[in-house]
Amino acid sequence: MRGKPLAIRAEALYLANLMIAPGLAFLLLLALYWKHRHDADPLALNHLSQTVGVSVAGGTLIVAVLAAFLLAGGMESGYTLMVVVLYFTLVHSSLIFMGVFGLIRAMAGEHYVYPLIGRLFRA
Amino acid sequence: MKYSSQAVAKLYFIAAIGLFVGQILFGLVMGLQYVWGDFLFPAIPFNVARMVHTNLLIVWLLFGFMGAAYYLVPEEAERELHSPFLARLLFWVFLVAGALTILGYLLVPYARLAELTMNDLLPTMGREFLEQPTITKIGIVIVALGFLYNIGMTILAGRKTVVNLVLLTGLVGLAVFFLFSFYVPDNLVLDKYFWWWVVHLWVEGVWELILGSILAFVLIKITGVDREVIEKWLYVIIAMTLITGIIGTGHHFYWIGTPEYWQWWGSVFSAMEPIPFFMMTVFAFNMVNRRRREHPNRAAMLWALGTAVMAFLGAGVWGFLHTLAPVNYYTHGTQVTAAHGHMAFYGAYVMIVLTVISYAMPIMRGQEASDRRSQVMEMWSFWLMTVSMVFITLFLTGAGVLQVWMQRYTDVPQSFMVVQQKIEIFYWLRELAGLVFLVGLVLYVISFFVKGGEPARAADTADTA
Repeated sequence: MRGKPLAIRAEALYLANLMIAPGLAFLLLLALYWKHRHDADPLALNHLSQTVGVSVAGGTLIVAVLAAFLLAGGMESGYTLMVVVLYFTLVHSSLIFMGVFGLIRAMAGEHYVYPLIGRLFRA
Repeated sequence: MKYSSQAVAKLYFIAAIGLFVGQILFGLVMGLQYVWGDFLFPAIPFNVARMVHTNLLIVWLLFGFMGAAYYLVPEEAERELHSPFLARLLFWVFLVAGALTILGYLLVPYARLAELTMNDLLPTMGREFLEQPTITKIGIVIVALGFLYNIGMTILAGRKTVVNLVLLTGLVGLAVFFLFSFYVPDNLVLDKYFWWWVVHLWVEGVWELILGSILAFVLIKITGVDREVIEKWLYVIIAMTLITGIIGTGHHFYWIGTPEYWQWWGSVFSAMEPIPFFMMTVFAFNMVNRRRREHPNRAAMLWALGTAVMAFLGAGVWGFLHTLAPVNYYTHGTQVTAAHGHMAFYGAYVMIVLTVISYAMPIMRGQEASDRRSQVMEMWSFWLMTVSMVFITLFLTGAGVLQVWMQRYTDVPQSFMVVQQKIEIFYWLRELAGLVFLVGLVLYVISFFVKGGEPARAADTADTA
């Protein structure tokens, strides 16, 4: 499997990781990347590296910042919960919307670089 | 405009926008009453302002849906509307009935209004969102039947497309489920149970069909993408809507006295309710990305894409936030619900009505698209209203989370009014965001009267490439 179908699969797994199968979909995405990292064409490699990179960076962004909020604000504070809920919802939604744009580009057979953090993972 | 009878939609759209302005003004009044308890008291008590705010929303959205149907059905069916006269007659009946009802809320105590309208003969008043006097409800049914007859006959005699059949299905569902507003059992559990058959099965069921079909129609027109492609997407979206939304009603049954299995059914199915909204986002952006022409109406395209994004956020993400039973145990009826309600209604239904108005109104006024200056102003109004709605939602979410913590989650719960005082800052911020929303709405209205600047011309993307 090469080109567009592979790119679409990468973006679909990225979105599945965020929405319906967190963790499992990420492992499948990693496996897909590992399998095709040497034989994928530029389009597929672009989407594979972007989705894997942004998944890792996005996950870190969520977990690390939430941990910082919890450490700074304490577990027994309503304000900490409020910040955690708002932060998680905004970051998670943003990652989903980026994935939507990535999926659409993949379906159109176009390259895509995720905004802000995607530049770190150019194939 | 392909068919002259499509022009009846203009009346409906104008009424919708007028009532929208009224809805926002009453929203601002009650927003202020949250922090300034006796503002405008006793002239407009909080409960009356709230009733007018929500009822105006429902009525103007219905005007918008009917206007959209009168505009798009003739074009899809490729024939004139069955009876433009009936459409105009029903418009005035609905407008007069709606206006009298709102005046009744404002000028007569609610209990007296019930007496005056002989509610005792067939008691249906007193339930949230369905406060209308029985006689108004009967009027709504008559208008809906006349409207469905008119639309149905047009479709029956003309071309049947997926768009107009999905729209008709949604509109029939809207009318059928409204009939449950006449069923008011003495048993409070049953009363609540069937009340949700109107409220939930409207906004998380049949209204989504109306939303999907209007969005599909506008995308066909402004992108030039093959109808077959868009229709396939529409089929899948409405299938997912019904699969998840119907049993998803269960998320309203958790704490009203129904069997416990609803906590499972409601949680599982309503957790899937974001899926059709997610698909709608992919669908809208995909179609625009594949567009085969550059439509001159940039504002309509912005509204269409905005609908998909905001519906997913408001209905999907903010709905999921508090839909699982263990979470909802703490959050139900708090400001988290209000946050979800505001963004979901705005994103899904306000924006789709504004989308179709943005697309159809210039055509009904003899242009393919408004002048450039008018469109720029309309797009400013889009951003002002949308961004302020995001902030309204965030402030209400913040207030709601704190409310949950202080009033329900903690070992030493505080009373409702004490907590309300503690989260007052969020209500002030929400009111400020509401004022920005009003500025956006005023700009939106003004944009219809602005002239000047060359309208962008239509072009095939192949020509421009």
